[in-house]
Amino acid sequence: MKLILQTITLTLLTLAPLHALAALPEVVIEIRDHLFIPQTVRIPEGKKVRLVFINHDPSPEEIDSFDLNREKVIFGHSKGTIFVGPLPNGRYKFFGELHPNSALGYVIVGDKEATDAD
Amino acid sequence: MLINTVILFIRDTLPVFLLFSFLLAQQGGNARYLLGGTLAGFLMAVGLYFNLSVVSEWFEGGGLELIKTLVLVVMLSGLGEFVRRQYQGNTSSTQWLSALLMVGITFINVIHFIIYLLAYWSASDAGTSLILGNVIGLGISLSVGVLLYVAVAAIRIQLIKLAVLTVFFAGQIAGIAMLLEQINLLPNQNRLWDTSGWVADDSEYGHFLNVLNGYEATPTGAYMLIYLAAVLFPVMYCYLYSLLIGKRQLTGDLK
Repeated sequence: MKLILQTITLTLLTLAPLHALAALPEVVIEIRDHLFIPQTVRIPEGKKVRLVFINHDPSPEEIDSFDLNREKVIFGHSKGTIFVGPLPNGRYKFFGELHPNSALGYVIVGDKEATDAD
Repeated sequence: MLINTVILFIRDTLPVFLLFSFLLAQQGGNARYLLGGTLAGFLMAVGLYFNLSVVSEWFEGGGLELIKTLVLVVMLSGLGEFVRRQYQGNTSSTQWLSALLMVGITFINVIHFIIYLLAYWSASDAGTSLILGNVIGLGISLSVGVLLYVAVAAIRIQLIKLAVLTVFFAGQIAGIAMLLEQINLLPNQNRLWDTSGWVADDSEYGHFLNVLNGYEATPTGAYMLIYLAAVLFPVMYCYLYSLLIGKRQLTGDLK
């Protein structure tokens, strides 16, 4: 019984962040003609942010970032979400793995005043 | 497109070639089982590809990440049993386990390359570049795999062979931290250190070391915790097995 209670508690603690999703700041990045629009987004320092990628192209794109340690496939005409942060000040590069020459973008982490996060 | 195809082929399939070499170099390594596992994993990845747009929408868009996490956890359990049987010298019964490990690693890695391949196959100017890129990528991955096989097979001490396999696996398993952080099921953590000045993640060495032993220039606490847990898991598994099941078997034998 004790084991079951511990398992339930652990599961609830693990899933707890789901309830906080709505409260997170959000930045939308569109993919058109294998380009990120906007190419540079600013987010506040020390805060978790939801990056929503909307792919308007018919082909898929794989968002990859060594700086952010993220990798996510976004299918054609669909969207996907990547959570980043809290991050220290800096410039973090991400790119479309399937179109690395054109699909390039940056997340700039700066002060709370200059942010694209809603 | 040619260079991109080569890079993506190596990045997405090198773990498969390396695990193949690691397992083939173990005692009782059987290429037929390993190839069978690879083929099964590939077919599963193709099956997933055709349902991926639906699957990736599950769990608030984290479906693929959770499936990969589940596969990695199953693989870790399989590794524990594989190491236990190898250590006990029961090598003939590890062949199906090695096939299972190949299924897992092929499934979670090759799916990304299938997405690339099928998305661009229809492009008018892509045919030659894709074929050539795949052939070059295959050649490089095969060469690395053969070199690794020769190196691991030359190790005389079985325990070291198993340790090398475990470290390779820990690198794969530690990826769970990034998968869960990405979909917000693990709180993001501060980076413990930054060694990008020495070996950057996006350099050739960084790529290779990442596949070989899970190298990350800026690992988080969760990444290192899962990495260390995965390294220690086979030892803990063998210990608990001998403590719980081994004792029960012994008691049964005595009765």
